[in-house]
Amino acid sequence: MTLLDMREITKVYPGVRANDNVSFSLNQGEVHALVGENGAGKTTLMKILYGLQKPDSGMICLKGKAISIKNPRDAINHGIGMVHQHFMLVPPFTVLENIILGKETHRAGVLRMEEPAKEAEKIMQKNGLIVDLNERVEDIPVGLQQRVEILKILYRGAEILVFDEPTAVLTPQEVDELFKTLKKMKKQGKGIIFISHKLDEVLAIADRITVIRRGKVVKTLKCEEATKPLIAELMVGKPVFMEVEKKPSSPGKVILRIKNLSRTSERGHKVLTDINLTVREGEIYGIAGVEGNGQSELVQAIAEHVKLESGEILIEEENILDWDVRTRRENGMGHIPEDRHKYGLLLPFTLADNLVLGQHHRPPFVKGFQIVDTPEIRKFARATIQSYDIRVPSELTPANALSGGNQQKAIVAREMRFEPKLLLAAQPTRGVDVGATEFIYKQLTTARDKGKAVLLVSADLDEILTLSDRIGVIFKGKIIKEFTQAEATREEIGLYMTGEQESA
Amino acid sequence: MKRCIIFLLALLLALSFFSCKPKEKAVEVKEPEVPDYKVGIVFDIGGKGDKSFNDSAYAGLVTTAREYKGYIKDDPDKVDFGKNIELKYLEPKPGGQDREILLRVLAEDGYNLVIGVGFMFTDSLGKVAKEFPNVHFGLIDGWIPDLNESSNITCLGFAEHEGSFLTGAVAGLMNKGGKVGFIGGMDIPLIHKFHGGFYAGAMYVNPELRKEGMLLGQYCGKDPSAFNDPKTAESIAVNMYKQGATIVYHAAGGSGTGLFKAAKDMNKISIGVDSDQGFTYATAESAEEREIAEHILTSMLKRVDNAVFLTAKELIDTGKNTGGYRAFGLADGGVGYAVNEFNKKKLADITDQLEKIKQKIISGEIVVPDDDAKVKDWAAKTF
Amino acid sequence: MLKLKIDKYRLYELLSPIIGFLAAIIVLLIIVIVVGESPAKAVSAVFKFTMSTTARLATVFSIAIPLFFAGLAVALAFRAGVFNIGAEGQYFIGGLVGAMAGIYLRLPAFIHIPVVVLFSMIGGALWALIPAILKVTKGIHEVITTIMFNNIALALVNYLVNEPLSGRGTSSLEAQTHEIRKTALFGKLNNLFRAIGWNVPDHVYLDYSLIVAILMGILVWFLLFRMRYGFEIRSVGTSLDVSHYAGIRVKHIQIGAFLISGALAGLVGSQEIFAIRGFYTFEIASGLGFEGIAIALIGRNSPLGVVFSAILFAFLKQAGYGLQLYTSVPNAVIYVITGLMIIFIVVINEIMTRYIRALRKKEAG
Repeated sequence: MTLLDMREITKVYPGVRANDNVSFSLNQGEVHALVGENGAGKTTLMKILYGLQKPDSGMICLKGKAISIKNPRDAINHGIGMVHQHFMLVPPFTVLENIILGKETHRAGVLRMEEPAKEAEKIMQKNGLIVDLNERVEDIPVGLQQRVEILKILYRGAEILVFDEPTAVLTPQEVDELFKTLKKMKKQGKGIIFISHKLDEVLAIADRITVIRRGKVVKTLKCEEATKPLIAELMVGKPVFMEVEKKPSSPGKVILRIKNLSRTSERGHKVLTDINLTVREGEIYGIAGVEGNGQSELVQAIAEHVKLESGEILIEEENILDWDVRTRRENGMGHIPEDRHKYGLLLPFTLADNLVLGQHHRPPFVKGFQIVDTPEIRKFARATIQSYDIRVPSELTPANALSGGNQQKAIVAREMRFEPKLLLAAQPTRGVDVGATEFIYKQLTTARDKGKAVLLVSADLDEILTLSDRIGVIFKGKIIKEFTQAEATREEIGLYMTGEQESA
Repeated sequence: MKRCIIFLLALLLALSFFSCKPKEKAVEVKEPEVPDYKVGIVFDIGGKGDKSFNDSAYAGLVTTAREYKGYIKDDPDKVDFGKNIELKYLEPKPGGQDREILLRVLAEDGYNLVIGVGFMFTDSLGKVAKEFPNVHFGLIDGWIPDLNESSNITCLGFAEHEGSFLTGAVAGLMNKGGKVGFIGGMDIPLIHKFHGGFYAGAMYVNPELRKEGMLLGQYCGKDPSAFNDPKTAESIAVNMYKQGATIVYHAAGGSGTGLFKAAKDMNKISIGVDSDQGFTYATAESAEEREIAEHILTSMLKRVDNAVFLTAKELIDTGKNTGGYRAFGLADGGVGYAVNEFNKKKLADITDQLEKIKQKIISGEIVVPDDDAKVKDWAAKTF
Repeated sequence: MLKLKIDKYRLYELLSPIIGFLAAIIVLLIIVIVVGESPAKAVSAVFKFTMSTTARLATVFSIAIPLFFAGLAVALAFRAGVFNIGAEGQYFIGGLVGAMAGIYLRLPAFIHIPVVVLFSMIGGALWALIPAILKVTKGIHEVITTIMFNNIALALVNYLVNEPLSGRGTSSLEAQTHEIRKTALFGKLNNLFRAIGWNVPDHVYLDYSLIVAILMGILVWFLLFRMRYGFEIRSVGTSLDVSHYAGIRVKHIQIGAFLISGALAGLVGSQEIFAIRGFYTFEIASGLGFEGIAIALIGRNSPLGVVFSAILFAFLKQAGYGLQLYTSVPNAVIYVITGLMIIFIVVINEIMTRYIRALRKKEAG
């Protein structure tokens, strides 16, 4: 039976048709995946469904009846729930408190906890979503937090569940758990909308797959007829080759050497313990691990001038601990930061300015008495835009007008153009569409083949496996295992990532 | 965006509506009668309603309006006796920094005579006067050097020694066997004028006080802050009362509140200066201040109203003002002592005597010394 | 296509202070009606007093000069993400330092005037130094330190002018320094304007400070948009993290911007000290440092924008005097009106800006 029917939805923002006559339906007991590049219109469609945006035309039918959704409250009342990419949880509250938040049971204003607890228990059993209700959310791992998010929605009686990139923050094992849950919910007759970039996952879980490109539905496929290259082609509009052609690596001398590095956070927690690793010329060293196990802190220690508890960081056997960021950069360190908006781009600045950022203080970009040589910068930017295929109307377009993929391309281009000896790439393809991902992979391997040392940090295990020559697994601030590419398998690395093989 | 544009249009429409109106009106309003003279005043801090110089100056405007069929422009009290003379007052910001701007505003707008109320206008008035040679400026109670008859500034001063002679006489007459004291603000010649007049007045009416050591005098300091130092004034006053003074007179500006506090605390008598300070306190909001009023017998008055009126009169009668220095004394009602509903009774017994002394000064029978250093010679000559 | 769109938003952005201004005028009219004065009279009073004659228009520009310095100072700090509320204290100190150079140095005029300008700037910069260092090294928020430094500056200046630097005998009671040497005084440019047919009367102060203002405006623009240092200032103000990652020495930039801001603030009092009064006093106009914040805000922290918003503020100030001179609106109400007008312009400008930003975002996403 058709649970949800969104018919001919059109939403026009000034100058852009974000959704152009989009129709999308969802049956009971079905997982319907929604895929498309960033900016294709998935988010807009879901925002319309959840009452965050008003469509210009089109209608939404629930079980055959037209409804209007003016705000999220309406959506919830109609049994529509959304698991956001960024969890909407109150960290210091307990799991139970988070679950009942917004639908509290009370008697004369006094909160009742027993009945909700019982009901939550029931939902947990039914869906295989086991969490300790009395733990504080801030104390439980991300995978469990996501369960809380799902429980929250089920507690409100949702029939339709929207999952926005749910696997981005999960380990392979956690993804498996999530999929089990999804299947259980499917059996209960709930409808699930699954938004993801990861085509493997989409193929593993979805019954139907709808591909959106530039605000239009390109095609809705049955799972059986879908293949990875087909979906990718539909998304991008041209054939895509996901497999990276890679020559065998021929590592040279050691560029980056980290010795016994330990670091304590400002709050006094130990975040890195005794890290030892080397990255050589012409190799990609990938760091695998569940997010929050010290990856960010490690990259920060290499890229920035921060306080360490002990240890050394050497570049070409020279200790760099006393160098500030500028000195490190001037001595051949490139850095693709993990959050491009927060660390990578000056959003209101032009693309040209962003492309020289970090080198802007050196000739040829300044001349005379520290005067910015704008024509030179623009010339450089035009060349870079062309050779790195950044799609913008002009080099003077502000960075915030670029799509996510093009923004990331710009950062990669910037860091590569200056031929660094060492390239730190943290989550280089996060939130980036297939086309840009392919491009970035190519760039990273090119860098390697040119003899650069690349340190890759990614939460996407496939990415690590695809690109790395050597892999280190980080868990709780320690590198607990190193693999060569040949000996690495998904499953084994997954076990190390969750710490189950820590003792080994 | 459409909404935005509509909003914008609505605003423009509204504005054009308002901006059309004045144009039509401007034609009608165009002053039907052009006044013969325009006199402007810039009050000092406190503005209208300060119960002091500003109010007194305002009274001068009202008198002028009445005598010459004039009106005070934009005044809420609607003082309007005719259109011959236009009178206008402006008030500075609470900090008083825009005194100069306001003087300029009036001068620029075609006022024939512009008066600044109070010595704080000294610097700014001197400067603005240079910029507007065709406007005459009056400076109340201030002093600008090197002026002559053809200058476009007149310093409207007061014969403070004459007024102080009368308050000295009040002190002398009311004093019962004790001493009499004087507290000056900054130690400058101007304040010594008060000092001399006061001593002479006290000695004139009370032979007891002609003896050595019966008159006490002290200054708060040697820099301008002495005019705003109630603490020092209070300790001087307490000291004087302890030494046997029954009445103390001050010419110390803001420091005077110290004297009043001491008088209240020790249940003694004080005399105020410049404006009717007893009246100001008696009509104050707080009960504490009204209590202080009981201890202020009278005040030496500078009749700013008369100074304003007489200066305006000169302009209207003769068509111009004489520059230089003009001191308003007892003869033209420029100084006096304060009598109000609160202290009338206390002074009733001596009013006649004071009036006689006043006449003697006006007639020249008594020549008041204008410095305490001259009092000794004066006494030797007089007694 | 995309470029065209951006220009459209630019236009909206430029319109927003104008809409704010119109709304403010309506507020003015409403209040005027409430206190029982004719709105037509009020409008004509404002008009007559601000632009009916060359002299009055020139006066608006004259008043705008110190406001421009204040706005420019705050704007430059804003550009680096630093909130300089201390312009107030910086110009009191800067003015005093400049005046000292004007009083105690013996130099020919063509050197003396640049020297007093420089000293004023150094004074202002020095007064910004400690809050800047405290912010960067100890993380003490500049809003707190600069406010405290404003009070300290006022107290210090009050003491200095009354005691060690006092230059007044007994004739005047206002505490002030000695007269500034003739060689250091700012002459008027009125003759120059007359030569080009603009008849500015003598009582209007369009003096050398106007030249200094224009010069500073151009310099700041050049610094911000043509020099590497300015690029880094804007970068730091846009994103500390990005700048840090790009190897920009964020702390140096913030201290530097703070000092430049202080130096510009040091010039706020220069017109009054070197052109109008000719000596330094505690009585020079206060509060301009705070007005500078609003001016910078409306001017969008750009030198050209600050020119316009400083003139707008000068216009409002003059409008207040116009109301006092030509209408019966009580003085206290006039303060309320000018205050409200400023708030209206700032708030509406801000709301519009956000609305435009949201529109733009919608379009982009």
